[in-house]
Amino acid sequence: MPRTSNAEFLHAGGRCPAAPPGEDAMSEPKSDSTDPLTVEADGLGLHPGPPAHAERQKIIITCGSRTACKRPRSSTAAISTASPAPRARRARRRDVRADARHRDGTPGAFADRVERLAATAKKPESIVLTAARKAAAEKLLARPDLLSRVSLTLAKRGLVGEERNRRLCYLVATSRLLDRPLSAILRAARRPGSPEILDRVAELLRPSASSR
Amino acid sequence: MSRLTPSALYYLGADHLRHKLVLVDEHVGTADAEHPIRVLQSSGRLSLATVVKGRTERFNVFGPIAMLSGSTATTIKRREPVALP
Repeated sequence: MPRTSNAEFLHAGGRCPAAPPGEDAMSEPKSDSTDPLTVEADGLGLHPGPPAHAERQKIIITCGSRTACKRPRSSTAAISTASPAPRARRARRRDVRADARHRDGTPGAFADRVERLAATAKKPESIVLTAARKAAAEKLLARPDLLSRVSLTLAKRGLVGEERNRRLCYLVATSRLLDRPLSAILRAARRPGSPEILDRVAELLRPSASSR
Repeated sequence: MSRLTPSALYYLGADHLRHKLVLVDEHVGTADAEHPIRVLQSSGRLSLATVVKGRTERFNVFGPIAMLSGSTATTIKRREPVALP
């Protein structure tokens, strides 16, 4: 069967018209030309899902192509807009390229494209501590609700839930300045690797304040 | 970091870890370096004397450090801190 153009593919709601029922692996992607995150190129349809929470920056992206109508290929990747490049690479390996069928397929190509975009994105300039910024920082540090503001900032940076752990980890991180600092082990049975909360807390510190 | 070898901390430099937050992806990665970490947490300094080109040299690393690590273990063994000097 001839390859269907991506426009037709999207027009059909991401479903292959000739595919037998139950074999279509695409899950409800819909064409929305007004969505700036929707990408259509080279037979590849990218459909970012809505964030699970209003404050959450992590989105699930369904990425699919259809080079053979009988076996449409698709994959999903969880990409956080606040994630650094290493995390995006891990996401690619884990979610997109876990299946050997996708190794040379378009989901992998899309993941590469995401990484290239992230690599070429303008990186924040190093922060110079001017007198005005120092005064503003001291004013912030003197606020009685500092810990709540830190917790809220972590939530806005993609760390949803774990309210208590957010505060505890920041307190441990800040205790590095004391004579007897604190230490903590975060126990999570989810998956091996660096816990998300470690990365987010480290982002609140200046780079020279942590070693990893 | 992912893993620490037993001698790695001794050669980091005297002030490399002073008042810093050490982040380790998984607690099991620090199993080999558990003793120097405990000493650094408890006494605030590490000292190593070793032979370099036929002469004894001392390497000092000063703390204190705060440490955050993750673990997927269902139980974590509680360890007593190293005695303070």
